[in-house]
Amino acid sequence: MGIPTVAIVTAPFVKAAQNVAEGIEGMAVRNVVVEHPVTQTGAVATEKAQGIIDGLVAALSATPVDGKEWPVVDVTKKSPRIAVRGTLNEVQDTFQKACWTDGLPVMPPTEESLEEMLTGTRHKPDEVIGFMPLQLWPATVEKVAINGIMAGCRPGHLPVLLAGIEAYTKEKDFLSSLASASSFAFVHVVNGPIAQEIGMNSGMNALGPGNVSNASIGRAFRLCVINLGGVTPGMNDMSSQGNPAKYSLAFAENEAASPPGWQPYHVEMAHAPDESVITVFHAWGYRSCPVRLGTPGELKVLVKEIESLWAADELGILVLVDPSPARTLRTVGMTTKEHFREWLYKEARQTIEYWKGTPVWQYRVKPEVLDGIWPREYLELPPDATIPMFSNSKQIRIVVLGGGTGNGVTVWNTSYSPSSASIDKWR
Amino acid sequence: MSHDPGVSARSKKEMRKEMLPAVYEALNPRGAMPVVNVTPSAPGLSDLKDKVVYVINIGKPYAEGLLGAIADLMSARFPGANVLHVMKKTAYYNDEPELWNEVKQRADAVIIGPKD
Repeated sequence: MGIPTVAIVTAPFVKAAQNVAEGIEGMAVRNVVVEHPVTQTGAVATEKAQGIIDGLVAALSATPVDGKEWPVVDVTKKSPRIAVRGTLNEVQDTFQKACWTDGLPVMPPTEESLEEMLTGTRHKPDEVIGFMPLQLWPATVEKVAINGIMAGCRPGHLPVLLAGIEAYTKEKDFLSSLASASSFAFVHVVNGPIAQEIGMNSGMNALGPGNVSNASIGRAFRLCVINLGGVTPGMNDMSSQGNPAKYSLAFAENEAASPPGWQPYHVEMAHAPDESVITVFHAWGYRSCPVRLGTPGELKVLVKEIESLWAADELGILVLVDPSPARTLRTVGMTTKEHFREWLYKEARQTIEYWKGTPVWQYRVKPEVLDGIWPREYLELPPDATIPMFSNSKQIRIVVLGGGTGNGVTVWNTSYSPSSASIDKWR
Repeated sequence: MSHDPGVSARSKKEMRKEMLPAVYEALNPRGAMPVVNVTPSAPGLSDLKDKVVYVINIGKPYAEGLLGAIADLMSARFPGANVLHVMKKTAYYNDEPELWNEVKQRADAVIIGPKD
């Protein structure tokens, strides 16, 4: 804009600020660093401000150096096609030192393995799928394939990867969560015939290790985030604690074992049953609890677990229901996912005091009231009145998953809207 | 490695060669950063007298203490400047073009934050 601007940056975020400045045209690179956090008020805030006011004034009045303009940073970076020639260990060392991996060994992506991998799609290698968050670099079919090889994927997995990357690039809110200081991850759910074609696990231990398709697909998405989105912990991924789900979390819905009337997730979202679809859910933390007999006591535990997830302010939940409790729920009146959804919406509640006390009240929830997402009359209710946890029941997403031997219902806290893409398009 | 005395030294050498580690030409997995046309930063101001200085909170209410204090200190230090303390109406991850348009039209200098 041509206006001298100085940014206040807390110490742990200096590299992130520089990273952002490098990638954005015209972004001011005047930064003044302050100690983290910046939550102080009153006299303590004033003292902190006094500590940096001289630096702010100096930055705003900085004069050109030696008659030249403020230093220009050349941010064009070249990316050679061959990263390294070497033994397996040398490849691992190079990739890991460059922060191109998730910390685990990778399969070296070679021209031969790439040629084989690309047989999994009819799309051209240089086709741009979209612009990958966080850095919004163009994600091509070839680069997704390369990262898929690294993760251990096979050609049959490639359409799933390409569709998943399309889903990532469509949802702008993922950008914020990738950089957040909170510990977000992503859940990848596959529906439709392709799940069986490529041997994905939707049953026993589907959330755990052991299935090549689940593990490599989930892992490939994280490698794409790292290498095509340019996400680096401590540089622009500021997740303070991290999330183990970042390693890999992908599975298929157990459509075959779903009870009658419980439509697959993609059918609920208006896709045809024989269409293959991937949905990417933003995720945070989760709870697991047993639902064996469907008694009021058991269901109360489930509701309490949901209420403890801080779910509503983060825009919803993903409920993974094992086929066994799904059948049990059906016997107590929840003959469809919609019935179960409406029941959860009605039962999971919060007090007005809790609702107004959330850290995101000021900049998310209150604007949502003004936008009509929450009823305005809630603002007039007393602190101990209760309202639903969710602004609407559609924020409760339900997927059947598991081997049917247990009684688990696992609930993930999800933020933002999920993003879906057709896998068939990328075959 | 065979210890059969009947295996010739040449075949042992060939066997050793086969056991050497493979060499890979590993492709680069990174996406390509597009060319950025870098614009130099705006020149600094020698004096803030009669200038409009925006102190902008990008949408993090917990930082209002610090940013408010900065705005107060700027006003006190530069009584001839017009210091405006503004918090974005929306969350930090949402754009707010109307605010940037206002800043573009009115501001001579900007202090913005926090990046945290």
